[in-house]
Amino acid sequence: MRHVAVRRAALILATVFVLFAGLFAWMAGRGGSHEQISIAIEEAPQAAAEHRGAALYDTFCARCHPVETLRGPLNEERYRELQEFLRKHGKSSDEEDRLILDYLAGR
Amino acid sequence: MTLFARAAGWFGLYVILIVLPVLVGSATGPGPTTRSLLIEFSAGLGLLAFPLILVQFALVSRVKVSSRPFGTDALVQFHGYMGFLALALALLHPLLLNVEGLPLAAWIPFGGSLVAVSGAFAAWALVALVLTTVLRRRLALSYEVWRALHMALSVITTVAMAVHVLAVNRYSSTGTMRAVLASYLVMFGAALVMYRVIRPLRMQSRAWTVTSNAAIAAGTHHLVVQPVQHRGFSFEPGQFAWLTTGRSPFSPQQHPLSIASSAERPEDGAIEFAIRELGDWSGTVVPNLAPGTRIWVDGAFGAFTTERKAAQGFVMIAGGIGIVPMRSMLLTMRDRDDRRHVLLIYAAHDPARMPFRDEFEGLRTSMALDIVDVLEAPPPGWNGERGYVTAELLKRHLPRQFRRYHFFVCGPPAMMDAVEEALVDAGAPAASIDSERFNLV
Repeated sequence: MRHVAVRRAALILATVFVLFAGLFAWMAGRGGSHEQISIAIEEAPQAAAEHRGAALYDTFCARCHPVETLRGPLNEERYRELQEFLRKHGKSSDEEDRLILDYLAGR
Repeated sequence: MTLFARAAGWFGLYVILIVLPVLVGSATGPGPTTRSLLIEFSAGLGLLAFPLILVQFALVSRVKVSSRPFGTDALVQFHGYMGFLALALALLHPLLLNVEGLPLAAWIPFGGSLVAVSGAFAAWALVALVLTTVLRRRLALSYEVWRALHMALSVITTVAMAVHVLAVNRYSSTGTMRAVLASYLVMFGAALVMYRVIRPLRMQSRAWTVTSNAAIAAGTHHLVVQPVQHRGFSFEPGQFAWLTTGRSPFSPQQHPLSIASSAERPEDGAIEFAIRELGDWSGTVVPNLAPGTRIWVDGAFGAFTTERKAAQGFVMIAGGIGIVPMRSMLLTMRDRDDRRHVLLIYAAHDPARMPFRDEFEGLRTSMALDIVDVLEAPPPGWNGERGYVTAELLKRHLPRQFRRYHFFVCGPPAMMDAVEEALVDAGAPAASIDSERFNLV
């Protein structure tokens, strides 16, 4: 009776696959202390903010300052300098300045 | 290579294909992490659901070499079970993340991050895919509409799932894993193109024509078709073919039907089908297939066959239109002068619903054939068996050495379940019982 054999094979396979996922989790999770889920929802605001920062940069800055010349790691001193520059320069708000700076710093 | 060895080989390949992404993820992933066991378990389930869903299509894409050792009906049944498993894994994946702090808003397929939107889309498309299949009759979806919907939802699920896996960018961030995932997508695309484009294109130049269409019993049509300027195809007695009606081989009107004629084909390559009016296509399209109508026949498929069965004899138990593959087997045995004993148990509601009954009577003169008719509603004066095929009825009629016979059962699903149980009760070895389950959805 092939259909009975098929049902049994499917049940055995389902069990094996779930156990396999368990083994995978055990091997991957041997790092010790636990952290909360950080994918998707935490990434979403970050990604959205970055996209918004990029859009704002395109609107207010990109015409005169190619992004390649400014984007990269910013130390605190350089960050403050640019913050001051943006406050005095252009039409963006303080919140928009912060998003642009975070975008440039890759934060 | 024996059929068993080939079946074991294909089964092993299937298992490897399903677990490969998990193995690669384990070997090339970020290594021991501080994420909880539940999150990693969820990731493992997701990495299993991905290939499970992509390989689903290959199971039912009419590849003869892989379907021959199992039988197409068994592969379709397996496809169904694996569909349920894929759904369970794909839903468990986000649910475990919900337990670990993922907001329930992640289930909303609009307005979130790419990871969340693609994941939610894949999950809901998969739910719709399974529900429209399980509830097809209740939703009054015709087979053709369901088939188109099934295909569209499969593609949506696959694309959304691929975007999700790549956007998560954790285990999928390495080049090796991306290459593995890409190869699955290529395989899915190739199967889709092969099945939906290349096969119909090849069939285009291999049309068939209807040579006769006669009503032979209550609501049953006997269709004879002949290849047009080609030789048709050879088949094994009891196998089936896909019949496509409509304007071209791309038509959605494609239905699997048992071949009714002898595997020893005539010179013109003609083959026969017997179709009962059970649904919208068989009830409206089939009766109007006039001689000269162009159709397409794709075959042959299935493992429900007397071929390569080293049995002393055969017990064939048919319910209603389930007699069709048995007719092919009996005519082939007659044409090949196969003298093995056959017991045919033919169950039907009444004599008017027993196609080919008189023809079988004629076969008794040229082969070792015994026939037992079982009627639910017998006419007045009926002295034969009445009711259903039960263990008691079988014990009354099975030949003395029935344990050396092979058993074929074909009919309505409930009848096949009952008869298989009755056969085992009567002492028939379960491994010697074959049934043909055409109830695809």
